Amino acid sequence: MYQFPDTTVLCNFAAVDEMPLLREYLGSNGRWVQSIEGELKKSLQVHSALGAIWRENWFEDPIILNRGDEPERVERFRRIHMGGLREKPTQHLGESESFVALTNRAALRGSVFLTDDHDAYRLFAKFDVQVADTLDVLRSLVGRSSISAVKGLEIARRMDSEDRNLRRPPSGLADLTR
Amino acid sequence: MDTAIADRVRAVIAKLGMSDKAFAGTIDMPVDQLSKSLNDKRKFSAYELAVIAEAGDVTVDWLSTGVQRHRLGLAARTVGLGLIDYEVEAKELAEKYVDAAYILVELGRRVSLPDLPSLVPTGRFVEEGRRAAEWALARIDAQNVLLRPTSDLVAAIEAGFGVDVANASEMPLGFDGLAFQDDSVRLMLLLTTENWTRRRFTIAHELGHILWSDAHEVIAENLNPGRDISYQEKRANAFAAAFLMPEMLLHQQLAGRDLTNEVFHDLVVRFRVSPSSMAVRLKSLSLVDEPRFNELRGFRTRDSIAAVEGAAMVEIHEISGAQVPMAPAQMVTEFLAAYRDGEISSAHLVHLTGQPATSWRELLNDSLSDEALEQVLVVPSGMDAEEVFVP
Repeated sequence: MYQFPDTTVLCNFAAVDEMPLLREYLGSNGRWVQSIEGELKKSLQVHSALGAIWRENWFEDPIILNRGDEPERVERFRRIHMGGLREKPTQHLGESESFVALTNRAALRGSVFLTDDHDAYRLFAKFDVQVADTLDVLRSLVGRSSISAVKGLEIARRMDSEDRNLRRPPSGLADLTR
Repeated sequence: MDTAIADRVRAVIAKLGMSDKAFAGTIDMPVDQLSKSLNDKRKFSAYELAVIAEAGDVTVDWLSTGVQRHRLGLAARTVGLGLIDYEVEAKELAEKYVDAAYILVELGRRVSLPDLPSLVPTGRFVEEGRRAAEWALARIDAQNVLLRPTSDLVAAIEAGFGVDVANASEMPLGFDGLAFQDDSVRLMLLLTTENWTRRRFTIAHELGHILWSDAHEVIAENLNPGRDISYQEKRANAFAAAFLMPEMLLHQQLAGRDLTNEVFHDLVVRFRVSPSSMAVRLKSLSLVDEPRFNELRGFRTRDSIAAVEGAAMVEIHEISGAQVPMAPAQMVTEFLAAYRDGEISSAHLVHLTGQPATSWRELLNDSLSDEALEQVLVVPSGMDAEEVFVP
């Protein structure tokens, strides 16, 4: 199925200039919604490595949430469950659009939401959406021998030194090989 | 429906004084897609509505439905203050908590509020205040609530009457409190203060408004007992006196003693009210005559504290509670339960209390003691150390 990374995961890899590794993990399965694309365009000023997403056409066209009552569902999830404020209409919009895409469209059910946001991870899991975080990505890359566990740990530590907050920062090599 | 949305988007574009092309550029939307959506050939998406709302300083609700939900009215009840200057500020303060209450309703965490009394106006504010107080007193354990710390009174009001009570360090200048009620929420917002007897009276006064259903528009209060001229303010004052100092409980605590200065100070400390409030109440119950009333009303709270052994500790406890910004306990408890059950993110709790998401995450794996709950309810303030009360 498809992988829907949010800005936390994408910026983690961009911050340490390791976008090719994330691309390898996603393959051709990466997808995004409009607001994730919008947020990433803003993040380009901070993490120029994100530019690879557009240059290499990682995600195809963004999914547009305008079918039936999808806009209302997105706003409801954003306000009620994500805690976005009414007067800040784009607050938590990326998670909310992704959630409605993954739960409302039959073709996308079973897809994975990739995030290092503690709240979003927990909330999506509660609603039976598959979730994964940066540690899962690194473990997968180690598992398929794309990188060594030592390299995986080094990348995670570099992310940390760049003030990226991993949901589960690995404490040692064993965390990369589980 | 979409035609109406398109009309409201056009209104936003017109308000900004932009061409469709310039506006499309502003929101990073292809102009041909904007044009199709404006002409009802394509629906606006969730993202597009959000960025349009952001650009136009409107809400997605308004773009989708044409209704600005939950806009609160403000009752022009205050005298002598520049009400208009503070109207927006007062309503924004109330809306933060009112919005939170609506979300609890949406989550199914709040099903219904306790009934309010069926009170019939008599045209006599003292009698109306007294009747509301009798109704309210029948629903709380008066002796254990009214002779105990104000935090117990607040807890009883939250539990018994479905009122969310918050302490806020920022209120429009000169205001002591706000009250608001509708079918889904009853809110009381109090200014943090070291004047704990005034705050206690404000709590009861606002409850009086709510029981008489006065607060369907936000009431911003600059309390002035004895000088308030509106009927509803006088009724709320009468309620506060009868509720905080019930006649039967006063007689019981008086226990047949003569009303010497020593006994008077004892009553002031027991009921945790100001000497002037107690003096007025004793006079209204004909327990003191006019000359004695004039003597008693001259006392200050500090006189009563000095006269009663152990009262200084009572005052320190009361001041501590009155000075601290505090989110509504019942509301926070309900959001915390929803958070623990995985239904919501911590954002609501962060917004209500100002405590960071990490604080709430730490609670997920711990059983929450009363002490821990008290700590997370406290809203961090920007006060400098020297501004904090030091007993």
